[in-house]
Amino acid sequence: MADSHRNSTIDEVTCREFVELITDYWEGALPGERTELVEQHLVICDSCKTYLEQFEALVEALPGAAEPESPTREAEQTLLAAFREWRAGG
Amino acid sequence: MLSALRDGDESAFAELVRRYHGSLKRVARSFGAGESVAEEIVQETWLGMLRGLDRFEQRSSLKTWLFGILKNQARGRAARERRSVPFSALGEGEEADRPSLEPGRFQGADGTWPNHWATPPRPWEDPHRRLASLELREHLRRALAALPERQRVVVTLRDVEGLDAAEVSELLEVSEGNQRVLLHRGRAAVRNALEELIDG
Amino acid sequence: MNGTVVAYKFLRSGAVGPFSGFRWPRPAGDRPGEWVEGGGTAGVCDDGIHACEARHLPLWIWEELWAVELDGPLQPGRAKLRARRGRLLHRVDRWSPVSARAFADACAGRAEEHVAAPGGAATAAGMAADGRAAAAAAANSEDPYVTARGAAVCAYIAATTALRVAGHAAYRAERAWQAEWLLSTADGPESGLLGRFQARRRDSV
Repeated sequence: MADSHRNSTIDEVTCREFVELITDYWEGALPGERTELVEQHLVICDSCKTYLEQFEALVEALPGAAEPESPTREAEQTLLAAFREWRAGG
Repeated sequence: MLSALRDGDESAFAELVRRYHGSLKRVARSFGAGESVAEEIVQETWLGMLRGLDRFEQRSSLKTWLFGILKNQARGRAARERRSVPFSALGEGEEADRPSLEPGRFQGADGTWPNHWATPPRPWEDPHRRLASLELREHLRRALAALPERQRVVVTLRDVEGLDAAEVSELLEVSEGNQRVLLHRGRAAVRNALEELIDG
Repeated sequence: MNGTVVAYKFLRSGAVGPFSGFRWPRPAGDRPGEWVEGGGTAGVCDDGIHACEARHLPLWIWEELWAVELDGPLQPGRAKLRARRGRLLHRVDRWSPVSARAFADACAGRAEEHVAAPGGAATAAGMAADGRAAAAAAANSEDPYVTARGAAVCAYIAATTALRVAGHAAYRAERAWQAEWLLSTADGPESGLLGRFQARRRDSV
């Protein structure tokens, strides 16, 4: 039915688009209508729900991936000395 | 904290250093500095803070200001070594246009479900718990380190160090939109790396 | 001051918002649930309380269906209503795994009809087959999530096959049929899913 191809799309967010919109969606950077389409998509798409959960888990885990760092003794001494000097300098 | 510092309170300064040293070091490395260079950049940042303390007007938070000093130190260093161009001067180019996943992950226009998943992501077992494990934390770090510089910097500042969108945009002198694109690309790339690891 | 409006809202099990994760205060006996303010309330969407009109029910299917009262100026979205505040009035008990299974089955049948039309098989047969599989999965499950999801997916499939085979008008007709199903049973509107609750305005504007 060649005719139906002309109007055979509706406005929806597909999976291909959804994966690009997550950060915008979370930050409220999508226009309201687009946000609605994202949500309508999540109603029917388990796979995108899975992808979203993975994104969530990742963002939640990233702070924990911070490698703990402490200044070396030497660095601390240098900085304290600099602080005293600065303080003395007025 | 600020007034304590200005009063010359040594323990306040020591506390500040302890609190932010790690973040500053991690961000310095996200700018591409190796271990010893990052250490130097952070030292210079603290000294720069002292030099500028009297003039600091508190238009931003102390933390944001510190990161600003760090960024300038890192840039100055890179410029002296002719290693890289300023962050904001890097073109939008390829990064922004490349999709998060290989196009083949989705069906084409004549698929059964056009533009839906061809190979959907496999659910990870207990994802939140799993990613918090020591093993996966290490992989997260590696995935971060493997990101292109701009994505690495933004993901580090936003997701690891917890700065907000406005702070990061200001710090890096990019629009919030650009910053968001970089953040998203970086997150997607890290997810892909984890997927490869977890799914095998 | 605008009057209030009664509309509908699908929620996850336990009256939980599907996107906000917000746990809605539930009615007790004859008392409606407490008013919930949008925009600022922890966990609820910044832009207000969301609900939908009857005609958009097929787009938002989840485990529980509630009648909800909305207060404040209504801001219509594409397929939803936004208001400053809302409260749960009444659970629509007739929306259950039983009705979800029946609905999924009905929609799967509709999809099969659409693709049976001339030219339908080439474009949409695969999708219709997936619809039948989803309805079958729902039929074999007591889990409210599985049955609700089956209903939502089969509705989407029926609408999309209609669209692909016969275009926009067919899509709209399919969605209207689905909304009508959700609003009434074979016995007519009085004994329909929503019982005494129909989308109506109480204000005088």
